[in-house]
Formats: sequence, C-alpha cells, structure tokens
Amino acid sequence: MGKIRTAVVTGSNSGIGLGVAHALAAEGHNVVINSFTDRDEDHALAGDISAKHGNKTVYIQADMSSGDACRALIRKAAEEFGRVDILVNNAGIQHVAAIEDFPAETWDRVIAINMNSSFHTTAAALPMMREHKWGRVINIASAHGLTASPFKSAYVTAKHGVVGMTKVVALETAEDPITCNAICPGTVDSPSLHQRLTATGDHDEALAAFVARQPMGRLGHPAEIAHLVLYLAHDASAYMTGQAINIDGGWTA
Amino acid sequence: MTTEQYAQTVFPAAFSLEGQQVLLTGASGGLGQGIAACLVAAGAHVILSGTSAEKLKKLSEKLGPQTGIAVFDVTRTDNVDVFAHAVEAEVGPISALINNAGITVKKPVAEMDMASFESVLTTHVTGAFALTKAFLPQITANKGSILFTASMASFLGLPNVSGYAAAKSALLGLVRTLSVELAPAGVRTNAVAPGWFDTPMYRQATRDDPQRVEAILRRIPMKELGQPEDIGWAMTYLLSPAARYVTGQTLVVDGGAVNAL
Repeated sequence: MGKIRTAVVTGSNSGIGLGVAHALAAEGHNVVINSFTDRDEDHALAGDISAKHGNKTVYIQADMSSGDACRALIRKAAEEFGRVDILVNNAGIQHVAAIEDFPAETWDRVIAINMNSSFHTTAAALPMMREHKWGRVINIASAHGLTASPFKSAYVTAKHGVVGMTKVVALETAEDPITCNAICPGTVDSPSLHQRLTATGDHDEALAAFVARQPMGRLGHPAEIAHLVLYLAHDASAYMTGQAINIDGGWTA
Repeated sequence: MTTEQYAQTVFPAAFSLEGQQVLLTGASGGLGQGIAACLVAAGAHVILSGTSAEKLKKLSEKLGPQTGIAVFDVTRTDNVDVFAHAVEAEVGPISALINNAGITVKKPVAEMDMASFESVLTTHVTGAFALTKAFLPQITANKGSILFTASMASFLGLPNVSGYAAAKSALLGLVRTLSVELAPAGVRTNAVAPGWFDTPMYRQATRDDPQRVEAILRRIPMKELGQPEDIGWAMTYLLSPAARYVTGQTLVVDGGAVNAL
C-alpha cells in the first residue's frame, strides 16, 4: 500500500467526480466528497464508499458558487483529516445559449462554479501542501478547455481559464514537491450528460450524434478519467506539471 | 521515484503491463534504459532494440528474464518487414511499439549540411514510420498501442537543433493522424515529450560547461533535471489499460519548462 493521503474532490456525488472519489478510496486515501445539497443520501453515499473500499470518506456540503464556501470546504476537510494533500477540482455546470441570449447571472454562475471555485480551493489548500512538502492539484477541465463549441460561451471561457490557472499554479509551486495539472475529458458517460441529451428532446438521436464524432466510437467512462487522476496523484508523475491532458478517445486529435 | 519504490506501491491492476510484449527502440540510450526498467517493473516483457548487440546484451542481463534483445538499425527502412517477421517468429506478435531511437546533430543552420539534417529526420520520422507500419498488423491483432518519444523541441524554439526540432515536431502530427486513423481498430497512439533529462547525452553536451548547466536549470521551474524513470512511468501509464481512452496525446514531462517563459 502506498502512503495514505487526504483528497478533496469537489462536485463528486455523481459522474466523473464520484468515479474519481471511488478510485482514490480504493487506493486507501481519505476522501472528502462534496456537492451543494445536504441530503441524507449524500452522507449515505460517503458511507457506501467507505464500506466498499475500507477507507475513510466523508461528505461535506459546500456551494461552489461561493468563494467563502469553497474555502470553508478546504478548512472543514483539514479539520476532519488534519490536512489536504490531493485537491481535485471537478465541480461544474453547463448552460447552452447563444451569447446574445446568455443570461448575465447564469454567465456569472458558470464562471463562479467552473473556474473561480478552483481559485478559492487551491488558494486555501496550497499552504497545507507546502507545509507538508507534498501536494497535488488536479483540475478537471474539459476538451472545451482547449477547443470550442457554439452556444457554450461561459463553459468554454471558464474551462480555458482553468487551463491557464493550471499553468500558473504549476509554476508557482514548481520548487515545492507539488504538481498541478489539468485533465481535459471529452464526452463522458455521466448523469449530467444524459440530462443534457434528454433536454434536446430526442435522447437517443443526440447520443448517436455524440458517438458518431468519436474516433473510438464510444463515450468515455468516469473510471478512465479516475485512472488519469491516480497517475497524476502518484509519485510516478512527480516531474510532470502544468500540463493539460486530453482524455477523449481521439476526439480532439 | 525508483523502480524498486514503484514495485512496492500498490497500483490498481489497470496500471499493470502484465501480458504485454513491448518492442523498445533506442533501448540502450539513457532514456531507453530507464523506460525499459519501468516497463519491466510494471510486468511487461520488453524486447530491447538498438544497433549495438553488446550494449543490449548487457542491459538485458541487468534487467533479467523479462527482457530479450533484437538488433536493428531504424534507418534500414528497406528491411523493416524482415525484422518484424523475425521478431514475431521469435516471441509472437508484439502488443506495443515504442519509437524511442534518436540522434541529434547540433549545428547552426548555416553549417547544417543536408546529409546531417536528413539523417536526423530519417532516424526519428521515416524510420519510426516504417517500423510502425511493419509492426501494425501485430499491434492491431493485440489491440495494442504505439508510443513515440517526442521532445520539448516539439514545442520550444532552441538554437542549433533545426533537424531535431523538425523531426520531433513531425512526430506530433504523426501521433494525431495515427490516433484517429487507428482508433476504430482499437489501437491507441500517443507520445511523451521529455524536457531536459539527466542522460549520458545531456552530460556529454554540458561537460565542462557549468554556465550552460546553470542556464538550463534556470529554465526549469522545478530546478532539477528529469530522471529517465519519469519518462518510463508516463509511458507505463500510456501503455496500460488505465489509459484505454487516451489517444492522440503527447504528455509533456519537463518539470514545467515548456510553459515557463
């Protein structure tokens, strides 16, 4: 067994975040899962993860649209486990509208949750990582952190911003044993994807259109993103920092 | 981390290379030796390839029974099919090819003779392409993958390496093309791009030149050279089932150098 670390995964009660939480838990790490709700089932989910992997998992509610709440999440995680070693910034929302019709308050909300939250959690976690001489910041950006699609202006802007932030954090932490990298998933089979597919009016046709664009002829799976997180969280990747890595079955190649 | 430390850490089975047969070119070079050690630690069988039988034998003895050797000069593009058949006849179809063999010629562009420029491109690009093509039926049969050793010179302007930079940049296009072309057949294609690494080639190039060493370290945000294992682990990840959705990518492993101005 490798060294047990404490990981915080934002936006992790479903989809990619939940897959990442399971993978880190399976490695024996302490894991904080998070979302904006505070339901019994959220806390039960943490219990399920602990029971499955024999690690310690807790659920901490935090609304990632609030900078104060982001910082409080890191503080509470440190109160629970003494420190934060691995930070996976995964929380994100999507809104689809032409830029002329994009509601300004929705724009602000997408930017806050998808980009600003990573600023606040990273700023709050880095002092602990520097103090303990080890740290990993892993930002779940998107293929839309490097490319674009119409009608997703806020999401694409935020994800490009996260890639830029990743490079800066990497440089600012380069002389400590801390790395910061971004993962850019393509289309991943997750509850939020299926919500968006259903919202088009014809779920199956929209899914077929997505799949037709993939060189591998299939969607990605949360576990595949989680394995890249494990590699980036491992000592084996200690010399790799500031990178944005596509994991998309060749979609953006 | 060292290969011993790696072997002691528990990684999920998805990161294992057990059952894989990997052909590694340029195996006896500095990076090649580190890559080979990592692949062996992760459970692969590695066919060490290069031009010097003596060096390969020595390396194979050091790394043990999970390795074999196959002498081949990657510039012999006329002979790749014979080589591919010989390898298959001896060890069965390979599941992965790592195009790692490389040379460099450092000269200002005005002094770069055509033969030198072309020899660098032949080794890195034409030779790697010919080998990839020759081994593709074996790799496809195993739904395996192909890796290339790119370089920070694929991204950064560095003086006096016009041939090397052109060759390493060409590999990025080759990786992207092969990735989309071969994805439907279940074959993945990726690259790893090292920054400045602690290899005999680097030590030779910076010998008796402390100012140059200092200038290089100033350009690396982590303030230290990479170790060959850093490339080996990146390649281990890319060859493993854990990376089964990753294709068309070039992982830059450089201590932050390419992003720093």
